[in-house]
Amino acid sequence: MAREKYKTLTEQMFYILICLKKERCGIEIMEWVSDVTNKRVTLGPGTLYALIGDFVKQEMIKETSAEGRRRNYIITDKGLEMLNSEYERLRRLVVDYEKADV
Amino acid sequence: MDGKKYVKKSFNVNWNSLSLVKDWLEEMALKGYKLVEVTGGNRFLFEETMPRKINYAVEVLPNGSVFDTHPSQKSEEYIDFCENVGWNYVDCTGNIYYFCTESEDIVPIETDENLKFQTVKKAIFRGKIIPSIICVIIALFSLIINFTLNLNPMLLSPIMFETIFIWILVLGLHLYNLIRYYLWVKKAKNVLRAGGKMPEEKKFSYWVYVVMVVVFAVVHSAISVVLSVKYGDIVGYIVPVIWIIMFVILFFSRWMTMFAEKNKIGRNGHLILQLVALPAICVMLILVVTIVIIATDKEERSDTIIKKEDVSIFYPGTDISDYSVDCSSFGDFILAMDRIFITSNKDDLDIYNCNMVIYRSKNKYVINSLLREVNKFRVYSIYFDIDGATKYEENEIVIYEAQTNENNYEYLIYDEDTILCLYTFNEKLNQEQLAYFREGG
Repeated sequence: MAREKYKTLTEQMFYILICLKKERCGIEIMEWVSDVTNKRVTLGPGTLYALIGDFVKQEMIKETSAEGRRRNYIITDKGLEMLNSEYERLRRLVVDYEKADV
Repeated sequence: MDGKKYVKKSFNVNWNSLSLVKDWLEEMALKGYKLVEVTGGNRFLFEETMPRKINYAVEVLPNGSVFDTHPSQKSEEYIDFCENVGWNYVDCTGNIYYFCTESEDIVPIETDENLKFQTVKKAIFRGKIIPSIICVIIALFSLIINFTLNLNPMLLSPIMFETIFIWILVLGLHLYNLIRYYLWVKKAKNVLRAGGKMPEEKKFSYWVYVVMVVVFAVVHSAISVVLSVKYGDIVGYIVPVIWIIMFVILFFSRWMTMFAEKNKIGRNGHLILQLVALPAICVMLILVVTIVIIATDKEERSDTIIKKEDVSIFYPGTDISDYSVDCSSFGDFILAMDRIFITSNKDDLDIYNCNMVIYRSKNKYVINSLLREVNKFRVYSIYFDIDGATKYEENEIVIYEAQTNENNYEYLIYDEDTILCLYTFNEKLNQEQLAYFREGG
């Protein structure tokens, strides 16, 4: 589900995991991502549904509660590890970019 | 129903050509037809309204199943997500969901083309490719069995040809599916890698497919019936029956899906209906056809069916010779001799004793076919003029006497419709001699 070849997360995956550091439902995730990125990153409902399903299957997030159609999720330790790993990778990219004397 | 007017339409729906469905629905909306319900995978119910612009989204539910008949508890969340951004849920059939909106500025349901491709690819693999792989394996296995067990050309018959033809057809169609899938996946990966959108396949319209299948079934059935008449093989008549059974099964499959959707039967229940009830219906239909065939089977069929009678008594202790000569036929009767040998009786008469096979048919095509078969098997066929023969009948033994030339008399001896033997003498038998043969001499 993550890009296995490169072992990285897409932007949408990255923002979902950040968002779920706090317990939220799917609709809140869509709104949060849109707000934080100033609508730069668009998370379609179908894409969100698929990613949440994959994250749960990979045990990177877990369902905490359900109220009718609404289900709440939160990131797991495994998901946090993946998120931190991605953050480190992106940070190194920024550092390398700033150091580069081209 | 409720005073409103409704219209039903059919449209070919495939997982990797859903934009065609979307475009068609939007065209219908512009003509004044709003989608209300979708059943059986490709039957659409529209409500007549004012023509207006409606945007539709036709999407594959991630991890859905073709056997889903209504939104599950889990997929309700999917609907909730979509409705939250402004899409209105219309209906679903299997794992394809339909949404609409009149808003122009709305977030698309799928925003990640790679993820969309993975979802569609998975749906096609589960719903189409796995069944095709199974069919290819079964077809290959059947063809191997047919060719290895029945390669002997003496055993090759129209029924074998039909069986092999059908398996080759099944194999070809499903291999075509597999190749198309492989090519589409390869193309899609290249396009997506370059940053493009998931490519879709153009398909024939629903009615084009229906017409193609019906025309093929009619042509195939007609050819099989013609072959049956030509070769006198009843099995060719069964081909149209098999096609009718196929259409009945397709109808029942569609009806079961619609029944499951209407009654909101769960995925497992629908799966059981399709995988258990359908084969059961198929078996019942085949049993009915078999019973009808057996019940109407007559011991003697002299119209188009060959009756082969293996009709002789062996006379031991003689030489057996085979003759292969040109043969002739008469009317609906071919008498084929496959062995001839000579004995003498107490009166020193030369008796030609024969092992005979009788072929009966009133159908000239069958007769011609039999003549070819008779020649192929190197038998000596003779012509016996029953109409011109003198008949002697006593104690259920019938003797036909025919004079073929000045010094040649032939005697055909029947016992309850079975020919016991054929004798040829160089003079006419008297009554005492005839009695000798009637008594089994």
